[in-house]
Amino acid sequence: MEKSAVKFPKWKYPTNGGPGRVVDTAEEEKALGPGWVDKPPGASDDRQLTLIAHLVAKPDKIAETAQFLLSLVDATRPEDGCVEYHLHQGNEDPTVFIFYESWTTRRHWDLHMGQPLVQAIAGRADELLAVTPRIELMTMISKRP
Amino acid sequence: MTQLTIIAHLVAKPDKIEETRKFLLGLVHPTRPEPGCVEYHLHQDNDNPTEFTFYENWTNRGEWDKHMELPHLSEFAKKAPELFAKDPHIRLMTMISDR
Repeated sequence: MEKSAVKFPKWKYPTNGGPGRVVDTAEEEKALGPGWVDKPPGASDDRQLTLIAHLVAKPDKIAETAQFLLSLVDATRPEDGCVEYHLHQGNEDPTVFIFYESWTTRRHWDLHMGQPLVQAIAGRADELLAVTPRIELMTMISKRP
Repeated sequence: MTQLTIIAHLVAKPDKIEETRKFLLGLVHPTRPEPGCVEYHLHQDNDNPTEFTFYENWTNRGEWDKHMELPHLSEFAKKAPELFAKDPHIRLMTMISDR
């Protein structure tokens, strides 16, 4: 795989307050036009946010990836708006790592994503990860017990 | 025995979103009091409302196996072809961060 194949996903948000989306290339970002910005306009979404982030380590970087991702846990949990932040590893495929995170609002997660430590993932993605991380933004629809 | 985390991904047929939501929410109430169930949460994707995800923790693999044999889960298997656009994708994981 070419080194440039792995990138941390970049998000763009429409100025009309609609849902954000991932852009994979600079061309794609440009094609969106002027109605899209890097940060969501205002606090358009006050719901609690749950997200699942899938990361796949290179087979020879499993231990290093685990160690690096675990270092994010202690730093992230005390952040403003972090409800829970858990890291998991696949039982059958140990290259698969999943973060399960809940944030008070979408805005809190956006601020978290701007933290230097999270930016450090982007910096090490080429070295550690086999594919681009996939992030699913969700709403918990079952009531918390 | 090691705690087990399950992440189950389900995709509803576009015309069955509400029915699927109701049916899956109906599984939460009977499942949470089951032996070995640590947590059992259901989510719907913000951008793709056909996509549902269960996040589950069980005290061990054996308790989850027993859960999968219970009547409300057999009902689930029976309704699956009617509600879902594809087979559920179930991941068995281990939480490696401390609680």
